[in-house]
Amino acid sequence: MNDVVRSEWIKMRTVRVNFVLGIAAGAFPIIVVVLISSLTSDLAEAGDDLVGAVTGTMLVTALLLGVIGALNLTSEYSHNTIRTSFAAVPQRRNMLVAKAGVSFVACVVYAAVIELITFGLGSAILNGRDADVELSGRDKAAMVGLVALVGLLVLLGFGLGMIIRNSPATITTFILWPLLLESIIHGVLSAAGVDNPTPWLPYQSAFTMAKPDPDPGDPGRLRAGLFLALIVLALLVIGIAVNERRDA
Amino acid sequence: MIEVRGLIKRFGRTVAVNDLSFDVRPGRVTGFLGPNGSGKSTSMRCMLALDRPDAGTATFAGRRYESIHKPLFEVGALLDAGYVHPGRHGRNHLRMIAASNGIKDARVDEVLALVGMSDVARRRVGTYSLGMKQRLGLAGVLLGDPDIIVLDEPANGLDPEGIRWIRDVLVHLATQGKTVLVSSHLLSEMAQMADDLVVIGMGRLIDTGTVAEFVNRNARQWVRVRSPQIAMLADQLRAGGAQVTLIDPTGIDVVGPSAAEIGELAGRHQATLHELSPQQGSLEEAFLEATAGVVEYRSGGPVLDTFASGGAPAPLPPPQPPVGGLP
Repeated sequence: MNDVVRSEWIKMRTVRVNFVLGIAAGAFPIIVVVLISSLTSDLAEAGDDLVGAVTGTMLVTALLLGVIGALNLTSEYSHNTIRTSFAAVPQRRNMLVAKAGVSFVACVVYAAVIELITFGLGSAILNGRDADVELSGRDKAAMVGLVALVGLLVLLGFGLGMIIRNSPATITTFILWPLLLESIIHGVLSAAGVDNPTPWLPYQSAFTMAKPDPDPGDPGRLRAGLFLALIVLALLVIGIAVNERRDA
Repeated sequence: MIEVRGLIKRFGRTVAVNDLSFDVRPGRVTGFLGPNGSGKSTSMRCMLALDRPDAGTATFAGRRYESIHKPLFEVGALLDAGYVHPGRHGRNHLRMIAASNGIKDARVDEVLALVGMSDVARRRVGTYSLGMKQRLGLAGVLLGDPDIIVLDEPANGLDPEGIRWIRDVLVHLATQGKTVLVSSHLLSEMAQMADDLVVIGMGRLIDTGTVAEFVNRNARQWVRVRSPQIAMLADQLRAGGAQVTLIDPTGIDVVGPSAAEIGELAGRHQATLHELSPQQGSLEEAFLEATAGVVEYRSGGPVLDTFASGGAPAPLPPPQPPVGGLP
């Protein structure tokens, strides 16, 4: 299994699109938070809500890293390298698990590093401007929750990729799910008389994981995380089963 | 040794591979022949567990492919040189394959040198010609120095020097005792390279055996005769039931009697012979004869004849519908 993991690590590092997406995913929160910290006039508010700014901008990072998770598999189908891969590792489940594991670990570690850098830069700038940046327990929970959310979204993208096996369709589904599908479901559930539909929507409720100050109607971080994790697990199990049976 | 038994693969209502069974022996190059759409590539994908067959098995030295851990050491396969990510460097393409089977990067550099790709190994595969991709693919096949080699159209896109190179490589590998199964449309190359043949059409086995046996069974055989008394000899041969074709004023082609029988006939009639040579059709002719009834797609009429006679070119005939009927 170590050999397969090493192979997947080489695959992930040697494709340019992963670098481009990774740089975009890392640069976006850093640039936004640095600009906010440098330009804000309300230093007290900025100091209190630095973690909110970090985790809020890093939702974009999470989505971009989720796209990397999807592309790590779907690009193999796009270029037919999946046949080369399965010919080298005919035990398909091993390869898929290794690929998912490498995507997960690499993106989670990367997100954690970017988060720390972004927070560090933001707090350094704000502290230099005489703001008072402190990390509360809820701030720490939100930062950990964001990293966990990245991991779940990477696996979600990967799971969708295993089932759909087409890059544009997978990425469209991955992006439109929270932006469009869950909004529609939210509207339908509201119209049907459900007071607070958010806890029943896996994506939207999972965003709670990264909020330092969740809204009163939001589910708890753990519940939201477990809900999305269940969805992800189901997609992974279905995806692996489908890939074991289908022609490559 | 590769053993294929009762392989069946359907795509919807189309039977792409139909109860296919054959053996590929070690120490020999076995050519896998068939018209376009005959199921060669599908068969190879089924053998390598890339496509899931509906029935049947393929074993490599007694083991099914999916049960082999680190298969690069046992079976080297190249199904399509285009199975590469265009943005990845050639060397990295091989590194990722090699790593999956625990093969070190040093071996990657060795095989790159072996196929003459060291200088371009750090270029993106998208910039490679088809011939370079074929060489890269062959390098991947050689990574684990396997005993069994399966190649689908490896000469595709290669220049004459490349074709000869790959022929020499495969023959060399067979002389080392390796089992080599190779499909190709280049029948002249196959005639020079293959020891055995497996010929399929519309997914079914048509013929199998050595190249010589296949040609003997399927190609025309005749005797060319040249003599100053050719008219007399032709009359005598026709009288004996032979099929005689005049090729020029002193030469005939004779189908039926053997060269020895014709020689004896000429001796009895005191005819002088300038040539008495057994002739045989090529592998291409034998292949076309053997697969005549199972060609999925056939070209149109003899348009070139119209050009040759100086007339205006006739419109191309409409494409023929597939014999088997694809959906």
